[in-house]
Amino acid sequence: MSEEKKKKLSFSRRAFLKATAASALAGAAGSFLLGCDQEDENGVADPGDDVEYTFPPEPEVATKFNWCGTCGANCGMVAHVVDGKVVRLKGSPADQVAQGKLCVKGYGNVKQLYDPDRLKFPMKRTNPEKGPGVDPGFVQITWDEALELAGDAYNKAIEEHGPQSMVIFSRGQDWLNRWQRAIGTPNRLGHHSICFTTYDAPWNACVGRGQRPWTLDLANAKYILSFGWDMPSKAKNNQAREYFKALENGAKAVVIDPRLTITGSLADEWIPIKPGTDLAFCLAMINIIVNEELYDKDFVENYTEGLDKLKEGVQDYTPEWAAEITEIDADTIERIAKEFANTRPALIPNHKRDAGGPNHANGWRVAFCMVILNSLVGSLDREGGQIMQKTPSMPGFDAIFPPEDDWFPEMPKERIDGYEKHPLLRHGTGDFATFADGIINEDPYPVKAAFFRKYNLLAFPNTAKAVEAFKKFDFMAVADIYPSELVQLADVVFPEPHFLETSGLGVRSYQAMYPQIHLRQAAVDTIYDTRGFGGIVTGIAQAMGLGHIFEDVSGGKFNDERLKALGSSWDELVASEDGVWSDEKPFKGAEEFNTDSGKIELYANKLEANGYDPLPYWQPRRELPSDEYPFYFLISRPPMHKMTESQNNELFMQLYSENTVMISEAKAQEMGISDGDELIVESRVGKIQLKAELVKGMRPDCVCVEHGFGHWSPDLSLAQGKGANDGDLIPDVPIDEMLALKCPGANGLMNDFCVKVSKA
Amino acid sequence: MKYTMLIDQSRCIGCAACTLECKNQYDEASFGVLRTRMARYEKGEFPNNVLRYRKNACMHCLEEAACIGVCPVDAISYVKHENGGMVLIDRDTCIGCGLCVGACPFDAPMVDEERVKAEKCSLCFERGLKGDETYCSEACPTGAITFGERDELISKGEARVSALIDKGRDQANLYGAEGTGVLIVLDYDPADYELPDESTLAGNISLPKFASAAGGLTVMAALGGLGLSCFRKIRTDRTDKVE
Repeated sequence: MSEEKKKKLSFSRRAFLKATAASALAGAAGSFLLGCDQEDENGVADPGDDVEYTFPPEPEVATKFNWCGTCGANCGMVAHVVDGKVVRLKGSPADQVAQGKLCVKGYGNVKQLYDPDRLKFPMKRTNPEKGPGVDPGFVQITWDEALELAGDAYNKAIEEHGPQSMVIFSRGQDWLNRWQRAIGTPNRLGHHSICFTTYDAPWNACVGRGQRPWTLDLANAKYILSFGWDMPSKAKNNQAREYFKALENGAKAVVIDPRLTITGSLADEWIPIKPGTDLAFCLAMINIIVNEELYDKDFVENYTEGLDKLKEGVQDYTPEWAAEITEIDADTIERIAKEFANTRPALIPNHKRDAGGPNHANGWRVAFCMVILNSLVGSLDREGGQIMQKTPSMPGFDAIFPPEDDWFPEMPKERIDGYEKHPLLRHGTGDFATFADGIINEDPYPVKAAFFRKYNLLAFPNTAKAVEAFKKFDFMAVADIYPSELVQLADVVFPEPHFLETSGLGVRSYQAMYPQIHLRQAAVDTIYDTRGFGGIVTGIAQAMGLGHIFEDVSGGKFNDERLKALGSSWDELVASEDGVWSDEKPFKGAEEFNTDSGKIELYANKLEANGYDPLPYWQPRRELPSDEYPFYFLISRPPMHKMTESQNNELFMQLYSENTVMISEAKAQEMGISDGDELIVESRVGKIQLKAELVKGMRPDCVCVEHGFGHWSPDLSLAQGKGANDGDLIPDVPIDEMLALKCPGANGLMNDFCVKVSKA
Repeated sequence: MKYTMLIDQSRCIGCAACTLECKNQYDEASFGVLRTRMARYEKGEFPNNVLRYRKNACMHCLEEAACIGVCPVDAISYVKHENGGMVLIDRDTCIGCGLCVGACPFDAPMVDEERVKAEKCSLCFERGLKGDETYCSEACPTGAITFGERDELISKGEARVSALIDKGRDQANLYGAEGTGVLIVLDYDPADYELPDESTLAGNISLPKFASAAGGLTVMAALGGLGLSCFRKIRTDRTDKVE
C-alpha cells in the first residue's frame, strides 16, 4: 500500500478492522489498522497489507448551556462550539424534560443561527407605498436613527390621537409590559385567542386562577384518550417520549381525530370523528360516567363540588344522541366512557390546537368537558394526570425594579379588538381574530402607530384583511430575526439576535414535575448588528422621553435577583456543572384548589356569574358543509416546522419544503384528482393553490393543509414561493359575532369554516 | 466498540431529527442530498388504516452488497468486524456514476450531482470506533435508534418484537438478521414499508460491472434517475435545489 493511500480510507473490496486496534482508539484521536484480506483465485484468504487509517485531529469543543427558544417547552440545551462557531446542539441531560434530547426543530437552530437571510442591521423604508409585492426600498440606518424614528412616530400618534392609538403586537415580556404601561395604551395583542384561551377560561373557572398547566404525566397514565391531541406527531420532545413510555407500560390509547396521525396509528384505536363534534362525544361520556356512578368516588367527594348539578345538566346527552351527531356508534361511545372511567389513571391530554382549542365555536366547551372528565376519574393533579404548575416563586420585574407611582397613566379600557368585553380573560393579551375590523373601521377609535415583535403576517386569520388593516398605520416598526412578510410592510426594522447569541434564565413551566430553572449563556458573540429585545424597548422608550422607566434596570440584575430569592445566584448558576437550578422533590398532588370553595367546581359558578353557561351544554360548530363549500377544513403542522418561523432554515427545508392539500384517496378518485395535481382551495374569504396529496387515513369530507407556508417575502430566499398560506382561507371574526358566541375564551374559530376544492 | 444499528420503527414518529442531525454533521453534500431520509407509508381501507414511517438509509448489507458488485471503480467496500460491519464508499475513488443507486434494493445512496459523488450512511464509523454513537441515534428523541454490537441488538430487537406481538401486533418482525447489518423492528410486513424480501438480498441483484468510468457514467443517467424517482413518494424528499 502506498503512503498516499494512508489517511484517505481507501479500502479493497473486502476489508476488516483489526480488533486488536480497539484499545488504541480510546483516546480522542488516534488511528486504527485496516486489514485488507483478499481472496486468491482459490478462495484462500490472503492477509494482504494493513493500511493505517488516521483519525482527523479532534477539534476542541467548548460547551455552552442554553434553552431552546423555538417553542414554549424551552428544552434545556447544550451548544457545542468549535472555533467560535456552533456546530451541534444537544439536549441537556439535567433538564427533567429534555432528558438529553431535543426535537427536530430544536436541533435545527444550529443552522438558523447562521442563516444568511437574517436581518443584519436596522433599516428604514424609502418607498411609502406598501403591500405584498411592493419593494419597500429598505436602506440601512444606525440604531440611533431607527430608535429616534420609532420614538418620534409613536409620540406623534399619542399626542395627536391619544395613547390608545399606539398598538403593540407581541407576547408579554417584562420590558415591553412596562413600556406599554408607561405609554398608557390598552392595546397589546398576543396570539392567545388563536392559541389556548379556550382552555384558560374553563380551567380558571373550575380549577383556579392562573394559567392552565402544561404538564401531563403521560408515562404513568394507564388510559390515554385524545381528542385531537397530537403532540407525538408534532415531535414534542418530552411528550412524544412519554407517550411511548405509557404504551410500553401497557397503557391503552384511543385517538379521536378526523385524520390519522402517527399518534393515532400508534394508539390501540383511532376513531375518525366528524370535525367539531367532539363535544357530543364528551357529553355522552359524562352522562354515562355520572349516571352509572363510575367516577372516582373518593376524589369527586373530597376534591370537587357540583356533581348533582352536573348530573342534571347532562341527562339529555345519551350515547344514542351523540352517535347521531358524531357518526360514531353509541356502543363505541359507551365502551370508551366505561374504559376511561375504569382504567385509572386515565387522562385526556390536551395542548393547544386540539379539539379543546380555538378551532370550533364549541372548542371551549370541549376544554370544559376535559376538566370535568379528568376530575371525574381523579386525574387532576394526580399521578398519571394533568399536573398543576410547578414554577418556583420569584420576585417579578416590578419588585426588583420598583416603579414610581406617576410613571403609568390611567389606561383607557376600550380596546381595538374588543378583548376587554370578555370578563374572564386576562387583560393584556388580545384577539387576532377581531382586530382587523377595529383598525379598518377606526372603531372605537383610530389606531395610528404599531410595534410588532416576531409575529408574522402569515399568522393572522384572513391575511388580506390584516394587510388592509396594517396599511392604515401611519407608522409601524417590526422587531424580528428574519425579513418576514410583516417586515416587508414595516417603516422601521429592528434586527434581533438569535437566542443562541443571548443570555438569560428559562423558568420551566411546560412538563415540569418539580421547579427548575435553566441557564442561557450566549454560545457565540452576536454575528450581526443586532440588539436584544430589552435593549430595543429601552432604546425606543428613551427616544420617546420615557427613559426613566428603565433607569438602573439591567437584565443581569434581573436574573441575579430572581436567583437570589431562591438561594442561588447568576454566578453560581454559571459555575454549575449542569446549568440548571432544581428543587427536586417527590410529587404531591394538591389538597386544595384555587377557587372560592377550594374545590374543583364541576358546575362553574364563576362562568354563570359572568353570563356564560355554567356547564358545557351542547352547541354545534359555527359552519357546516354546504353545496357551495362541501369540505371541512383541517389545519396541521409538520413536525419539523415551527409556525411561520422555520421555512427559511436550510435543514428544515431539506426535510419538508412545501405544503400540500391532503385529500382522501376515495374522494380524490371520485373527483378525478391524482397525487400532485394542482388544486384550488377556496373559502368564503380567500383561495389558495396547492398540490394534491392523496392520503388514506382521513375522512372523505375533510381536506387538510399544513401551516407555515406561502411566504412571499423576496428576502426569504428559501421560503419564498413554497406552498401556500392556510391563513388566507380563515375568516376573521367580527367583534359582535365573537361576543354573540358567548365563549368565555374568545375563540378564534380557526377551523370553523368549510371550503370547496377544484382542479386548477 | 460498536458497529451496527437497530432501528425500532414501532417507536418512530417520523420527525426526521435523524435526517436533520446527519445532514448537519455531514454537510459537505449539496442541498437535498441526504444520507438518511424518512419515508411515510399508509395502508388499509378507511377507516381501518395504518400509518408508519421508516428511516431509509444504507442497510450495510452483509457480505456482497449489490452496490459493491456494480461499482465500476471499486470505490465501495465491505468492512468487516466481529461486532458487525459496514459498507463504505471511498470518496476519493467514487466517480459519482450512480450505479450504486440503481443497484441498491433499498434506494439508499444518492448521487450529489454537483460534487459528482455518491452519498450514503457511513454508520458514523469514526464515531463508533471511538465508542461514540451515531449522530442519528444520539439525536432521536424517542430512542428508536440504538447503536451497538450486532448480537446484542438482535436480542434486543427480538425482545421488542415479542412485546409488540403480545400487544396484538401479530405481524411484528425483526428485519435484517439474515442479510443486512442494520436491523429494523417493524410492526407490519416488510412489504408494507417497501422493503424487499430478505431472502432475495444475498447477491442476486447483478448488474453489469463497467470497467471504465465513462461506461459507468452513461448508465448513471438511467439508473440514477430511476433510483431518485423512487424517493418521490417520500415526504421528506420533496426538496428543491437551491438555485
